[in-house]
Amino acid sequence: MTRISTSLKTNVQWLENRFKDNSAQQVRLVMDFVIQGKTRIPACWLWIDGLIDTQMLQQDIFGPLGQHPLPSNEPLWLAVQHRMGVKNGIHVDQLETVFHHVFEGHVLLLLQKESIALSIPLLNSPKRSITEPPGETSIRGSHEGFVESLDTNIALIRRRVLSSNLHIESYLLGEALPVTLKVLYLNDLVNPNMLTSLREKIRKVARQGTILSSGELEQRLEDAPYSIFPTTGNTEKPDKAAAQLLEGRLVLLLDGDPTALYYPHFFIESIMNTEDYASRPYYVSFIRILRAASLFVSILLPAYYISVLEFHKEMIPTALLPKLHEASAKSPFPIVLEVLVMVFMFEIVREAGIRLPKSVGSAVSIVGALILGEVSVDAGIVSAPTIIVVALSAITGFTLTPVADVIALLRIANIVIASLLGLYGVLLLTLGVLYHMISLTSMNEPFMAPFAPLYPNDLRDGLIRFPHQVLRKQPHFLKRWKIRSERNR
Amino acid sequence: MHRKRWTMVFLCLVCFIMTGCAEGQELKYVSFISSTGVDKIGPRHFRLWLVPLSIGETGQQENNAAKNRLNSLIIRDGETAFDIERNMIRETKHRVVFTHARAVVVSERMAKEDLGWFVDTWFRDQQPHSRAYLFVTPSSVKDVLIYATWLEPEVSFPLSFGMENIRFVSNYATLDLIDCLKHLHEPPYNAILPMIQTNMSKSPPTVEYRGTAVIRHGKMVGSLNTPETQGLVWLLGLEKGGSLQFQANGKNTAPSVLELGGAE
Repeated sequence: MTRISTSLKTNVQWLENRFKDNSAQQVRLVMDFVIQGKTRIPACWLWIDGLIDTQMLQQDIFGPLGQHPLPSNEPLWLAVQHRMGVKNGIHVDQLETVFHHVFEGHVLLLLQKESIALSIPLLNSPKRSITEPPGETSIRGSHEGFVESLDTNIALIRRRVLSSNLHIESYLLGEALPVTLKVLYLNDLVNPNMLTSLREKIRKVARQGTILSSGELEQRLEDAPYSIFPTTGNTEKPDKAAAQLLEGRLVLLLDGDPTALYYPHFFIESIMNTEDYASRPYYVSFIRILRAASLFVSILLPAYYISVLEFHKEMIPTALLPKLHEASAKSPFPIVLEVLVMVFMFEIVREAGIRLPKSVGSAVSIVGALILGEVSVDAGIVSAPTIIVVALSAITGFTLTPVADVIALLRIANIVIASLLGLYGVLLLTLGVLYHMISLTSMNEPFMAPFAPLYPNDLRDGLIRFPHQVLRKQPHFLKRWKIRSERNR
Repeated sequence: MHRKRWTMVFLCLVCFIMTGCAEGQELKYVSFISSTGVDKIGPRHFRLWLVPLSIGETGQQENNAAKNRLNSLIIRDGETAFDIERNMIRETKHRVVFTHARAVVVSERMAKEDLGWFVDTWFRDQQPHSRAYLFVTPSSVKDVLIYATWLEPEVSFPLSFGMENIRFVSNYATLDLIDCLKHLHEPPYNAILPMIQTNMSKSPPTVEYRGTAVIRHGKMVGSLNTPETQGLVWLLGLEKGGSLQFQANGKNTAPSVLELGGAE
């Protein structure tokens, strides 16, 4: 690290060298004077055009400083700051920091014979307004969503968690193109071991290179990065992030990304929704059971269909047999191929529908529905029961959007193994997946809690949600930490 | 740890081989038998009538069903059902599956001479559905299989669905294959089976449930008419509640009605 020299010329030379390859960045390095009393002190201003609020720069900084000489009876930095209309400037003493701050939308002021610089945040990058996240819409409750601005996101959380125990730690990830990461937690609730573990991981990640999105960060921080199951929770809703903090979890916000990550994350949360807590417990419990059933139907139904038709024909209901037999006889392809083609077709249509603009996306959906449905049956390419099975499997998968990608992969894996080994293969694969899920952890907490290990009290907010009066406010992992720390005292 | 893992893999493989899961077959390459008929044509020589599940007939008019069924009958002779089936598999490309044959029609001759032995060996081969209904008919087995279809496209359905419907009517004995075998192998080694016969006086001819065959030690020893069946059902305690009308001390007395309560 290079400390700021008392020689302004040396500092400017260092900065010019660093910026010489950045001509396209519109870096402004302006030599000027600051007048204190009757003394003209050489100064250097540094900023990037387009990244800062130039109107504020003129009105609150250049204007006041240029009108009258600074009083000579005050220390120089104090006099400068008193005169300026912007009061949130910070002092930096490293030239590398100066370099980074310029790219973060700060205006830097370096003075002759001063070994520190004043960094004034005047960022004015384009901002998106706060809107409801499309993936987490709710009927009841807050409709606010995170945006790409870190400050706005923190403000949205702070407004909900009015506690002095809310701690925010800041990290710079990557060296060449550093990105700011903020870790939020409630100091009185968070498990210190979990926090230590996360800090270590972040330090490792910070050295590995630039992180461009929360998705990339999540994969680098996870305990089991090669697993198909995400052990990191994510949300775009500030109310959900605040709720996670109140349970003693760690919330991570990355600059330029509207998705907040949180740890630990349990599998059971895939069938939960923020709105669940705003609705009556009875209907919520019913919906949660429905979502859990949908998980099994979505993953296993096509595999079960193939297994029964290929290997376990005795399981076909007698009344259904003539229709199934007739449909199978009319189709030119094996049943496995039919199902796989339809599943892949569905995934393609879904992908196209998501990526394309809304107006075109709906057209693709209509064409997809026609191809997948009526036309393919009429043409005799696939049988009607296959369409029903694949469609039901796909629709039930939509009820669990947080694990939709996992469901799609497991569905295909089950189809393949069902075509080879029948229900026995499906059973083997299911047991293998369960074994893997039980061995997973999220920041050292078991991923399958409260089922494995069994935390009976946490089951009150599991498949069935109990009324708020009997609902435990914090999950078991937090309680366990409290018991341990009390014993240590 | 590695030893345990390899043991698990080995066990999975053993289970895989033992379950025979790799023997999958496309539905379209399998012929499902919807119902079967058995007749005895000589000493230890049987004839098996098989009605395969028809494809493409389910949507047709019922009037043509009987005619079509006549063309779909498979007839094979042999020493045992297992023997006949095995030969049939060899002869045809399609595998014949009996898991959905819900009706087995047995001729009266067959029932009187070899019912127990034939059904027992067949069941041990795990071919017929254990919940299939076994019927005894004094009529021609072929006629029964043909004329049972005039209401439904598949023979098995009207016969088995009919049995399901009359299950709670005390006039009929409604035993399925597994119950029949259980009764034949447990003291006092007696079983009853429903009887069906064709009524050729109607146009088109119909198949009617009429009477009960009494089986003792694996052979049919007699038959009961409908009132007798009702009495037997009541005596066996299969019917609970309701009323029973009977005439005591000859025909001159007025008929009496006995109210039945519970299992008494």
